[in-house]
Amino acid sequence: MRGLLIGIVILLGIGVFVGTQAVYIVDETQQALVLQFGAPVGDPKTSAGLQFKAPFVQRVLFFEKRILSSDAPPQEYLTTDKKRLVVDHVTRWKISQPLVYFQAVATESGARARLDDIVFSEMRKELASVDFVDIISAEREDIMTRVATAAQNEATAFGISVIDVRIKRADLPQEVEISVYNRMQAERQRESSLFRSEGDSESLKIRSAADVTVAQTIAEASRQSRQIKGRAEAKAIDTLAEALQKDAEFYSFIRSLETYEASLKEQTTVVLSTDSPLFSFLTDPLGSDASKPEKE
Amino acid sequence: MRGLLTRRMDRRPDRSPEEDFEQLVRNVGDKLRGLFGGGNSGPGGGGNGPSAGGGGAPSIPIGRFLPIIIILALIGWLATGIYTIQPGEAGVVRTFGSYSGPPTGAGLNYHFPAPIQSVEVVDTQTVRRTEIGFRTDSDQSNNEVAGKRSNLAEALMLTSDENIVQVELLVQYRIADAADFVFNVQNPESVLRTSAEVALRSAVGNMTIDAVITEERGKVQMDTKANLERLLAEYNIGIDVGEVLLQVADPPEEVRDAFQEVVRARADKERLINEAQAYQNDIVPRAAGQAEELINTAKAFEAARIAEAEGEADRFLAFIAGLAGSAGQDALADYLDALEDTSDLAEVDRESARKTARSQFLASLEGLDKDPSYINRRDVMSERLYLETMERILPFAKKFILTPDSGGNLLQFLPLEGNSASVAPIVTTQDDSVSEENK
Repeated sequence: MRGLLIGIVILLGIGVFVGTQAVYIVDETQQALVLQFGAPVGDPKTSAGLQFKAPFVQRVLFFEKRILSSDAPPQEYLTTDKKRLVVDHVTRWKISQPLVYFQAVATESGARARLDDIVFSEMRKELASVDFVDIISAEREDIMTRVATAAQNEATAFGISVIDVRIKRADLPQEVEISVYNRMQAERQRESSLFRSEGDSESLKIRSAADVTVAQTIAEASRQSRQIKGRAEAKAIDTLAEALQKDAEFYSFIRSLETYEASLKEQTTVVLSTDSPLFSFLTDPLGSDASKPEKE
Repeated sequence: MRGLLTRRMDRRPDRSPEEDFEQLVRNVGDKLRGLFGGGNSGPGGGGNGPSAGGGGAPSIPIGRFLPIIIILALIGWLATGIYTIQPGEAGVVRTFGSYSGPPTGAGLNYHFPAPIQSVEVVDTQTVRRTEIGFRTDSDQSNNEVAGKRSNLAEALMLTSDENIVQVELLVQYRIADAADFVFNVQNPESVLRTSAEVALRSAVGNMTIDAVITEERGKVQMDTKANLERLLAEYNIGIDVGEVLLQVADPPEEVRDAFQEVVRARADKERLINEAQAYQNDIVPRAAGQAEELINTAKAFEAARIAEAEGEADRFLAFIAGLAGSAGQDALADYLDALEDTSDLAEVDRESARKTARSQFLASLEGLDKDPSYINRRDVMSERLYLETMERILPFAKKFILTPDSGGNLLQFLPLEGNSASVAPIVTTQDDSVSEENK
């Protein structure tokens, strides 16, 4: 009884052990390659799930099915216009043919090393054929697409599919940066002096225009003022003349009298001749000469 | 038994399913051996299953308990498939490694125990953030941002005009599709980060430094987001990009002063212009006022001058009309009446009415100076006026009356005058401005 039990248990144990050797699980993130004594058997298993193999004689290798990244250290490149540029790129790739991949590079680190070599050389080729400024802006995408395509062609030999190559950073070498800073500084100084001189110029324009306006306004007003005064004089003279011509002589007389009265003030010394009409009767009473005072 | 428990795996299992399975088989083997061993040498042999603590007496045959033990172990094993999903999480279930979608939602869930099924729980609600160009040291205790350090290697980048600009960016994201996130890309969050860097530099590389640091900051955010979403869609990474926030977009430290100087210069320019405009606003209206004043002064002069002339003329006319007998006096009375009537009229009409009245008055005095009776009256009047005037003047004057015999030699009198101011021999002097002096 006990022996039987032990026998069953042992058989069960063996069964389970063999069973574990005959099945294997392929995860959703993986793909599998079955090797029989080191030689690949059948197609790679790319769909996830439970798979069977011959126990003991067959071995399973698992490879990533997800998108992988390779971020190589930055490298310095020379562009067409002889400028140096430090570019840090990142490559996204996949294991497209596990068998080829296994035979060519076997491990992910090996694959990364090969892939980086390929991409580096493509980058060098590509960047050497474009201008610095195009790498920074306009042609960045196109360059990356061309590098990716070229790298793809070569990487096929390693069972690798290159999804894309992207420029993560494209910077100037340290020593060039300083000269860029100097140039930026100079540009800004130019700009600020332009602003300052523009400010002065605008200010002067506005001020002088204002001065002109003021001068013109005053001059025009002055002109009008004089014209008005002149007109007034003309009119006044006309009015007076019109009236005075009725008896100009008499007006002159009256006006003279007023003037005498206004100008001969107190303490004015007057020397009078007895010839004066005022004294015509002083020395010569009425009847002697019958003379009358002459009006002036 | 721990080996049988469902592992709540991290996002990336550190062991392959195959290894898990082997481990399980080994564990089961160990347990069985332990049980049988326990039968021989006592229950302390190593059986530590949930029911093994029952502590049966050594004399009791193993065979009686074996089914119970197996059933309990089976139940325990099946119970390891129970798991809970919190709100905002999703469970990605795999059956023998193969994805059995869709992801399970919040609540109590069940999967077949290992090695048949496994679950990976992914937080799909929390908004995560990745920082480009800077790092925040967040204080874990209160989750506040304690400090921010710039990472210049990341932050400095080239613009399209070959300038260098310092840009710091914050990207917020959320896992949108748990299965895509788990299955499609290795190290998805690190891929997101490098992609954000690529996207940012691509955006900035297409703009000038002035655009980046001033008016186009919003465009940097938009372009970066668009680029990033395009890249991520290519990888099918299962991440949803939320806000892309530009934290800093400044010129690098080395040239910042020069840039600020430009800002100052621009401000100075505006200040100078404003000052000039203030000057303009000060003097131009003032000049307009002065101009108005000049003209008004002239108009005042005009009014005064004309009024004075008319007054003078009227006075004289009245004078001679008075001398012209009754006809002249009637004309004068008519004229004065007409003038009075004009005071009710409007300004413009008044002037012409006065003019008409005066010309009528003037016409009525026509030929007066030829009228002998007038001349006679006038001459008598003249003499009287003359004498009256002298009467008013002479009492105040110092007078010397000479006879023509003295020969007009005045010099002999001069020392007697002291410092008298003026000598005006009235007989010989004639004021030459007599007809024009009006002031």
